[in-house]
Amino acid sequence: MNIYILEDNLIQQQRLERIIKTLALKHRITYRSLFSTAKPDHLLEKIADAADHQLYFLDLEIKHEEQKGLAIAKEIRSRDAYGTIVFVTTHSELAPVTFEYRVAALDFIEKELQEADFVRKVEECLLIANSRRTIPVSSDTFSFENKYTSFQIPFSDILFFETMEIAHKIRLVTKTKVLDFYAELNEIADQDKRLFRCHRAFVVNLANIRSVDKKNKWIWFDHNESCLVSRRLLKETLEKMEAIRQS
Amino acid sequence: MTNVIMIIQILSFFFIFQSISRYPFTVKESSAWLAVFVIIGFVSTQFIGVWGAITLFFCFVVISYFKNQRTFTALGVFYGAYALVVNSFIGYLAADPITGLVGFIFKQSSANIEYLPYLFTAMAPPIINEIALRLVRHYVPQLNKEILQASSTIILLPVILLLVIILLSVYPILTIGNETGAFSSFHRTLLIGMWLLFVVALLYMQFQYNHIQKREVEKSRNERLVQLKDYADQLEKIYDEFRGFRHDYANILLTLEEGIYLEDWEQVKQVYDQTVKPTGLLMRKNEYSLLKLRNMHVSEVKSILAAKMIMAQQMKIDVALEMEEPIHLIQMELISFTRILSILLDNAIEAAAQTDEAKMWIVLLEDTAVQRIKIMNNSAEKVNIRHLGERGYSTKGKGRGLGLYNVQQMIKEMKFASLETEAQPRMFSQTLILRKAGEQNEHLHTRG
Repeated sequence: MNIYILEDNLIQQQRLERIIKTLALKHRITYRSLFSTAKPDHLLEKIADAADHQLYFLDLEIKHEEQKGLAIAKEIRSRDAYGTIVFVTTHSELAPVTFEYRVAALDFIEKELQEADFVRKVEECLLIANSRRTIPVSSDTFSFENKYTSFQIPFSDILFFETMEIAHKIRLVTKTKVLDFYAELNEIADQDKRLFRCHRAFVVNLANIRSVDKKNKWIWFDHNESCLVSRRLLKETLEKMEAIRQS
Repeated sequence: MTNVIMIIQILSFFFIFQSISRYPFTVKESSAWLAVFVIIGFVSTQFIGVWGAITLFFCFVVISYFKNQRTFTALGVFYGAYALVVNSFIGYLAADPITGLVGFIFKQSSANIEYLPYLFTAMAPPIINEIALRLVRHYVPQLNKEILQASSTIILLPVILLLVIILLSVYPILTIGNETGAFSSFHRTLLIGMWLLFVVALLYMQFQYNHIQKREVEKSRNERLVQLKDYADQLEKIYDEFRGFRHDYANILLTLEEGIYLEDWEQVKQVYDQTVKPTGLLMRKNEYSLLKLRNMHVSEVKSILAAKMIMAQQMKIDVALEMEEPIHLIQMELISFTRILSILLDNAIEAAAQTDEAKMWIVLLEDTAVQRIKIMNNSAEKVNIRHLGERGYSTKGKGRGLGLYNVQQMIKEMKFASLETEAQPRMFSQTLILRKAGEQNEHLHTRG
């Protein structure tokens, strides 16, 4: 793991370095390098030749240039799709949801926090980044885009798609969400081979089926969700499910 | 032959009903209803003659009942009455010209053409109605479905009453006419009078609608004014706080300086702890998230966001606003958008207020392809999202789930709006995803 700090205040920079070193020792986390800089360009140069998992601590407000932090984060993200980005910033700059959407930022650490809380937050981020070193971050997202909508969702969250009472309106049911949008079921089934139209009104994620009630023609998922399977497509559903499981 | 004409007439009723109400029917539904109609039509005509048509009226009301998620609405009754009145109205108007036309065209023909005028007269109403409605909808777009949906029961009731009176007075005359084969001049006058009444009823509706709309616009303008005033007050308050801080700042510096030169570390420490440190806390207050509203350049939306945020803050809810990029345009018709936004915000405020650590987030994201509006709140319990939005389902208790239901009803008709609902154990969020229309859509469309 490589750790980068982008911070234009020298005292803050050293403080963060000190905390990281202490925590790494405490948790026996080994890192290849710990690189601190006040210049965004230096940081961007550095990451060009990195193969390891990277952890970035970025200050959002560099030399009082507003929005500079977001631009840098986007640049980093375009070069390093899997790195862990953490923002260390003042409260007024806080925009966690936006940064989560834009650059999949892991966390925000407020500079104004009490020392103990500050250290605890850094510790959390360090531990998460360290675990990501071994388990690659899943990039398996379902991106859907048509004339009427555009969204992304982790593939593993998808349970099924169903038609709604309004023509062409589709509801996606995931583990924690429902999303209603305009599309055709066939359009969706064509997106991925794990998606299968098992009924006039349903497209299921074969990879997430928990069980199939062959007698009553029900497909069950986790979280107690279920949908129908047509008699005609029952066999094919089971075969495809098996094929997905084995691959 | 009369049977065929009657079936056509029954079909006419149905088509007129369908084109005025614009309820979506699947092929299956349509055929099922038509079958029911034909049966009811035949049976009732057998017993009560022309009055059989009245039974169809009740059928329409029943259809509306089901199409409106099992509720009786004045609008449903209006559709039924409209179908019946318009069918006989246009039929009556068209009968003479059609008879004349048929007679003229088939002057030379020796075939039995006696039934032809009846046949055409029976077919004319749905066609003429469809053409007229299309023209009206095309040239007077504001006379769309919204006009009827927005018109309250207060407007509709007199209209329905009029339509029913017309029905009740027209059918006996038609019955007499059918039996005697001729209409007396008195009856003719009465019929024409009734049709005039019908036109008046429609005009009345249009007039009332305009009136109500004008009042609504006036009302919302006043509301916005009040909201913006609150917003300005709040900004002034924040400004005052800062001014106070700036004033203190000079004093703080002086005291610190003095302490440093005198090397009185006790004094420095005391000043720092008592005056400098608390300012950090001041900076952390989310009240200042109101300042981020400067990125919102759509004043209607700005005023609603401001009003709801201030309301939430007064209810001791910690409100965070994220709007990092300027927003100049909302990708949805504004009146609907502000209504949806208000409902989502009200729901979030109400749910958050019931928690111990009340907090909500409002996030507006401007992407290349979509605009995202996310309203998030912490919630006391995990919401069952699959039932959410059903009429009357609410976590707040029975009969209070209408807000979200209304949101879904509005979004239903909008192709470019998607609604995402997420429930975590202690968190609830709704995200409105608005697809941007334009060139890039064309491009993407070829991909899909």
